[in-house]
Amino acid sequence: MGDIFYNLLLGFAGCFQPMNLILLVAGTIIGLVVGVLPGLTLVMGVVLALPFTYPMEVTPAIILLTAMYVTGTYGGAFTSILFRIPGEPIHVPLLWDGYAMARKGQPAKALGWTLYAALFGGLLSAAIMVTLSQPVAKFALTFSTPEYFAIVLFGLTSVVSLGSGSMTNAFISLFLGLLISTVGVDSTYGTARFAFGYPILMDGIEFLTVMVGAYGVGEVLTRLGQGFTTVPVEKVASMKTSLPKWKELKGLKAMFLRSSILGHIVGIVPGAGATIASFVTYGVEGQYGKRRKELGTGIPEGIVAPQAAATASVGGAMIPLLTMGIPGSGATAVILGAFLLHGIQPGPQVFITSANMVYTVFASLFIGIVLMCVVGYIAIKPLVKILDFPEAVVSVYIMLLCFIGALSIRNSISDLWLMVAFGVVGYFFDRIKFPIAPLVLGTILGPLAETSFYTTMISFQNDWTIFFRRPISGVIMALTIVALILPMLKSFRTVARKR
Amino acid sequence: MALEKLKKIGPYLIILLVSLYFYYLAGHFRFSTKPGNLGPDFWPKLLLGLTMAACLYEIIKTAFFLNVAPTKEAAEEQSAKAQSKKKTYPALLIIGIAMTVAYAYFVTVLGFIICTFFYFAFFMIVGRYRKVWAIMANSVVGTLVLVVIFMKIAYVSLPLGQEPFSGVTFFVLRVLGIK
Repeated sequence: MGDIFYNLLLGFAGCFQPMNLILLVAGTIIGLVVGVLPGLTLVMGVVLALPFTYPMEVTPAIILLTAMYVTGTYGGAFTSILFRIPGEPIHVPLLWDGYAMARKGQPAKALGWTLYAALFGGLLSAAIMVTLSQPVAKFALTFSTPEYFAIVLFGLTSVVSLGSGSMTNAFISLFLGLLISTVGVDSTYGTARFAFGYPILMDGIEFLTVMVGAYGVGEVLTRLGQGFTTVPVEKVASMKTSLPKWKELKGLKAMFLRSSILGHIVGIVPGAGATIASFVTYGVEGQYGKRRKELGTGIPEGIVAPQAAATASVGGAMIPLLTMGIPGSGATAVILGAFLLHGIQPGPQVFITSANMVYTVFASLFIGIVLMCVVGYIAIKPLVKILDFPEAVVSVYIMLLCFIGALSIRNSISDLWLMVAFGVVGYFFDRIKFPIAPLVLGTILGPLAETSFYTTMISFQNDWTIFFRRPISGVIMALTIVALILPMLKSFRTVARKR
Repeated sequence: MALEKLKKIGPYLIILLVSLYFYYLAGHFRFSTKPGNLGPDFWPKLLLGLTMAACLYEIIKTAFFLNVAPTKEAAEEQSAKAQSKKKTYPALLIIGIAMTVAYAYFVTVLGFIICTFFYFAFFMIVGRYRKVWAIMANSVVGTLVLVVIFMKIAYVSLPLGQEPFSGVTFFVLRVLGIK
């Protein structure tokens, strides 16, 4: 424990190095802007910032992206409460009680509750993350290839089963993502697969091309197809934050704690992320909260629960990313990409080889959360003004950042072509209700899944039961099966009830 | 009704056929491995098999078990949905995709600077933005800012273009102090 505190103190010192501090502030402001803009999702924001990190050292790069990630979970609260425009899906639950409280003439109070919720949830989650990461990493050091394969499989399955919409579509999207990752010369046998003789395909398809294309270009094309119809923003008289009193806070302390811990746990589960955390905690309040019957009428519980959980999910999602190299959400997938671009493979070893960097990132999360609340408190008016920007102008910048992102991966025009193709794929996926997240995660985790599968098969003479016979991988495989079966049972039950 | 079903089945059918073709390709990978060991074709074949199975499941479910004839409530719900549905602009979308493809094609010929300038301007116009001065200002300033950030600060190598357009690129780079 003493080690952890010492490293964290060094991390705080690292954060105050000029470059790190500048990027932390920049990430906080950009993250808030991204959260406010309805056309720009949190994941897309982090994706677009990625090309800017190429020339940076790994620590400032990750600090920038992490700051954007955490503040992105807060920015949309302003527009949800004041204008009924959720900047992110995370903030949809805030429409119910946050907007209702604003309509009752207390918009400043509603914003005050979100500020406290984000601050408490974020800081608590960051503290848990720091405490748990090293023990988890130590435990992960005992893992061999069967465990890694089981974990990746569990992560991918959770992404599919926790997503909304058709499970079959999510599976198809996932399989296609995994298939994309097989293009090129395979690492075990050196065989060219699906390359069609093109040198660029021999090197494989970079997951960044898929991610930037499907998320960035695909989203802009979707909005262009809708004619860039920006929702008009109504004028709100009070655009400031008024903080709730200590007495009011004391009455809700158990709820603050419950929502933050739940948000953190949901964040750890691969594929769950901030949106699910925010909906789950709101649902828990609706079922077990003291004032569950008043939920939706503009009570603080309906504001605090989703906001605390959404921000707390960030610390949770960082644990599997840093300790095992498994991204828990779309945004952490991009952060994983940034690590890989800088030649660092997150996993248990990173706590030994780059402990300084890891703890600086940890410390930056604490500072980022406080900074986020300060900036949100002071700069709410200019932040919300961003909504007046014409969508066509914002979108063209997004497109060009995507192009530059693709061009700078390998300095190849072929990557630009591929990205445009994946942009069109992303658009059609959106049209036919195929989720993009499994496609992207499949592309990212595909090589790890395949390599650990083949290595296990070679090491254990093609005995596939090894995945079930080893204790840790067996438990994870069992969890995978549960993660698969539960949503199926739920859907069968829904169908049966309808009949 | 058949058309409705066909619309639903369409994407799965396309993915199924493409997967089938790729499965065939996977069967022709050149490699040598010990007898009894899994080859590099196993993993893609497994994924393609699973993709095809998922597509087949959806196709059979839609074709034989899905009742697309709307009930009274469903029909009411559908008409309410249709009313609230956002207006779509397929022409804008097609132009947007064409412009994006054109950008990828022309960026090596015209160079990043000229191509980006035109893309900025045309995209905003296609996006139904009509403030001429704002379009001009964004196109010029936006292009220059991107060039400075990525070519001067981030050292990203962006296309310079071919003669005579590369002359313009070099001129702008000189003005901006980029070597």
